[in-house]
Amino acid sequence: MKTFYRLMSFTGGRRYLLVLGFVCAFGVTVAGIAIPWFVGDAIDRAFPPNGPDRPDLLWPLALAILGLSVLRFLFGFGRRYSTNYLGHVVEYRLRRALFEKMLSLHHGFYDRASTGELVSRATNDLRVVRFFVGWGMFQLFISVLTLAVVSVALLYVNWSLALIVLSPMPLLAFAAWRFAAKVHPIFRSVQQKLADVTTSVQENVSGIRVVKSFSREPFEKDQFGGRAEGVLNETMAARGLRAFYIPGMSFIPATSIAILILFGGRAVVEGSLTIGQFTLFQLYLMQLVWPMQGFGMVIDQGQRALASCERVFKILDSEPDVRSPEDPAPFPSETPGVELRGVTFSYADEGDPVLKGLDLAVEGGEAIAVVGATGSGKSTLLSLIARFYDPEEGVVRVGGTDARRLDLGELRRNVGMVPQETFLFSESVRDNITFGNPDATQEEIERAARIAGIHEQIRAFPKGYETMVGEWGITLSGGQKQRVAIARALVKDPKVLLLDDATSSVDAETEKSIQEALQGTLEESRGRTTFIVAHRLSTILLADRIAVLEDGRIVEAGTHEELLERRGRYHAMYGEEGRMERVSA
Amino acid sequence: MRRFKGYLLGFPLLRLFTFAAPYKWRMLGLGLVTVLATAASLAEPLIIGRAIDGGLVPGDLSVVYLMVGLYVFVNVATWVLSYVQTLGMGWVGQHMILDLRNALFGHLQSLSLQYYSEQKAGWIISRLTNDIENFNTLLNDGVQNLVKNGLTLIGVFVAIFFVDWRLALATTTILPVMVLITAVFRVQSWKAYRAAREAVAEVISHLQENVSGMRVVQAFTRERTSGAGFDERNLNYRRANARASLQSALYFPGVELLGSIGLAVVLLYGGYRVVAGELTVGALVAFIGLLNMFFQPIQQLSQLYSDLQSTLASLEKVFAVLDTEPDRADRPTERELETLRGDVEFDHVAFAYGEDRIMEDVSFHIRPGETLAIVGETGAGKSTIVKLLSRFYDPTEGRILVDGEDLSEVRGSSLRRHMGVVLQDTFLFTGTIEENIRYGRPGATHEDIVRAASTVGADDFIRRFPEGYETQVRERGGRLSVGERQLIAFARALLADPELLVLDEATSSVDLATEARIEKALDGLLEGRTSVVIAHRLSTVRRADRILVLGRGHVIEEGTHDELLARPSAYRRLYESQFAA
Repeated sequence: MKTFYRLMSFTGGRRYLLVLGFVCAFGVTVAGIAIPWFVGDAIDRAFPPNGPDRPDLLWPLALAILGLSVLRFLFGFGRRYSTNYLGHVVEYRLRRALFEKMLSLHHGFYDRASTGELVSRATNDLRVVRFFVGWGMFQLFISVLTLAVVSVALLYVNWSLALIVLSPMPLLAFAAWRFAAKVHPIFRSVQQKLADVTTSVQENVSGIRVVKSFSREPFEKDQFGGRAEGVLNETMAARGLRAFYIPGMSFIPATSIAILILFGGRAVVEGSLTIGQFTLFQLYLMQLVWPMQGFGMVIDQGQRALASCERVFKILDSEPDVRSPEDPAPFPSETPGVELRGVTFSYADEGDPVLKGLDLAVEGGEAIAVVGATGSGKSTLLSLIARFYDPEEGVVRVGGTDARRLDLGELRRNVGMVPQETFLFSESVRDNITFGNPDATQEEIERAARIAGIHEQIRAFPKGYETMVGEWGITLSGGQKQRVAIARALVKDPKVLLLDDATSSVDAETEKSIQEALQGTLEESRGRTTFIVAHRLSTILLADRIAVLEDGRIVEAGTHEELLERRGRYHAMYGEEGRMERVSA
Repeated sequence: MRRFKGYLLGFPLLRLFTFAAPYKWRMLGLGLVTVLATAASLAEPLIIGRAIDGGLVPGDLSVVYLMVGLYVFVNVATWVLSYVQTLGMGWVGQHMILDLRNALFGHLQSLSLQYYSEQKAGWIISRLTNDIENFNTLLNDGVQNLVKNGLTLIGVFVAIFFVDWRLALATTTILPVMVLITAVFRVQSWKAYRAAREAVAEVISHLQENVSGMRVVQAFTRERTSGAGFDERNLNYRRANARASLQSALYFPGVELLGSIGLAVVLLYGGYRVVAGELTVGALVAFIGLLNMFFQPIQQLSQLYSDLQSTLASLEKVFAVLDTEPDRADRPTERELETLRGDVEFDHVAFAYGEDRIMEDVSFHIRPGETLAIVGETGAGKSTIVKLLSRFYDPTEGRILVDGEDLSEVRGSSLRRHMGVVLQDTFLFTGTIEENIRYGRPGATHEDIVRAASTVGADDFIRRFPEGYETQVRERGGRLSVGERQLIAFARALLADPELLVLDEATSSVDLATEARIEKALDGLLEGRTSVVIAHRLSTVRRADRILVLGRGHVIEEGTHDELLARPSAYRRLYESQFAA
């Protein structure tokens, strides 16, 4: 019920549609029950059993029927249009709320979620909800209303017979409750299996090259087939319940008719009931069969919708771990220094902390290289500066202020990041470069592209900056993508620049030109605080200072020469290459 | 005949029957069950009528009791038959969906990389999820109702002519109007549903891309723009749906209205015929009763029709994917490559992607067991060589020979079974680390996997996780760093023990110590194995037998490390720029 109320809150502002829908559903039902009454009436009055025929009376009655039909048409139109529209509005709003929530959720959430699963919730699940709001809910109302109106009419005609005839009806409520309780968990699992299918599809589309490279198409086909079969099995389980209960629910009015023939029949024979009354009873009970079947179907659908709603609300209820403070401190106007004090961090439920009480202070305008073995936590360190995560212990200070006290949007606008894995959007090269600064001028774009060493190549494309980046970037090589990502970060003109192994896919010559250009901008502008994660010595040497990360701590820091002289970790890592450099120089 | 069949298959609905073919006997059986169930439900009013005429009017209670018994029996039978019918139709429907899903998925796998580069991922995903689910909605109740209502309609139609053919003819005067509005509705709603399908695919594409790239969106504080873009697509979808809603909201009550007009006509015309003594009151009542039974199925059938339209719009898209030509390289007619010695030759190969000429006149030869390194600037065409060698694309000019056979006649998947490729963009699947490594060789034991992981230096960090090899790999890596994922991909390729190994920037994100260890391990592994190594770090390149330097899609120079260093080559310039910062 709570889920239902919450679902209804998404009709806010369009409540009139809800009211209109119910009013029209009421109109349709009443008109639908009244029309046969008029028909019977017409016949009784125009052809009375005793007395002359009055065919002239047929005209006003036919007109009345026509009038009622037009009313029913209008109500029917109003019912369908308003409820369908409401369904679409609710679907739209839920989807919007869902996406807005997704935009606000922190990286930790995305570490655990899969794209396919999230897409499935915003599509498969919402579609079920829409059917319920747009149709099921009102059908339920119509069914209940029909039952009520018919019961009242029958009680009016002959209350004692009506009581006996209607006695199986409470069974209906019981059956409905049993059905709902049994089918709900199955539908939850149907939706989950559907999400598994979506995930499988999504991974196979994204990873098609790996699948093909390993000739693993048959394996993937089997796995997909298995998941699709999971959907089948769960759907069939629900289907079995449905096959039993839905005809079972229309069996109940049939039982009533059987009771009517038995008791009503005896009453007719005894003379306490007229054949006309008997026929009316029978006609109205027949009218209940379809609404009762509809009742079962609505329960079926409603349970599926509630299961879907729960899945959607679960995401809406996820709280972002990283949030902007209510009353943020002003962002420093000077180039800020960055300081990490006693920072400990571990990824959720992943065991050992990655960073263990790390200390590192970088002054404003300084460029620092972070080196360390694969998996030593270099990328994690950078993620904490951009506040994609918050440290468990310790503090990250930007410009002397705790990053948690700065406005999140402002912090990220001032931090330019080139991630290790390049993700470009399937838009034009220009749109990708201006991603962080949509107002950038052509001049600014070209300058950033020149620094990233990609301008000439973009110009050489037939469509230049308007070239579309394929989602898989097949038209752009890995190095070209990486350089577009560098230009994207530079065009923001950030005060803090985080380069996470940003030149790993770039050839040595280009790397050198990027480095020179970066250094140029570093010197020419009022300066940036720069973090460079790198493996290649030539890149490392660009930095003012080098910090060596090991076991979650900074074990050494200093200039290249200082560190070599210490003959510590750095020397072990770069000693040989360092020597080679001296030999070839 | 075949052409006629082809023409028919152009209609999505008829084509659907090909998916129903395996279940034709079951469907026939279910058809019989449906006929029985419909007959049972039509028998109910007859039983009641008999109870009135034979029991109530003459006051014979024994007939009443008999009819009660019969009525209960017929209803129990209806229940049982409905159960069988619902379950059976569900079974057939779900199996058809399963077949369709599997066919679509299998077909998608056979499509070329080019297809994947031209279609947005979300668009493809939408075909396999939303469109198929749409079909499911139709199958859920649709087919069953179609048969039941269709039968009822025919039965009633015959019956009204039987009762009074003049009245029946008078009633059918409204049919032309019905046909007309149905035709208009059909065309309009078809357009509306198609637009809705397009719109939802747009929603999914945006969602898919933005969720995948959420980190970038957040890092560049583009939440608002991304949200606005989503809102626009979401709203478009709502609008497209609203149009479809308006049409169906007009159409269905409209059909109902026509039915009521028919009722009024019957009442008047029939009434005067009664007065004229040409019709009995009882017959008129029966006629009206039948007419009610006539319009209810029409209404339900039009509802079904609406679902059908929506489903057909989906199926049309699904079939369009199924009709996309599979990758030429994977046609069954292509020759299977049973063994591979590893003799590779590029013979004046040129390649263009659309108008983009990416590669011109590239020739080289790798003898079995040799290691060839390819170096060159970003965008010089190094990765293109890998794609051509894997037969993901065919050269636009020239030939590629593998063991002397023209690669354009060898089936791509059979070639790739002998190849191991490690790419610069690592893609891991959801599952454990062990499962990901085993991807290279499905039958591998745990020991094999540990050995492969140890060889590339991944064993250490894997063991450090609390769950070791059972650690779950998540889509965006989570705890796994990019370098660690590269190592897992490396182990995956090694486990496959391929005859031809291709490393495309395979260790770009790995630290130097690990890389050095991999190189040492590689020495043993590359021994006797043909391999192509693409690298920016020239320390990796040095140990290759031969080095190919590419520049803007051309081969600039070729030789051993020492040869190339000995003269003023492009290679020497690269080398010096890297080691003399």
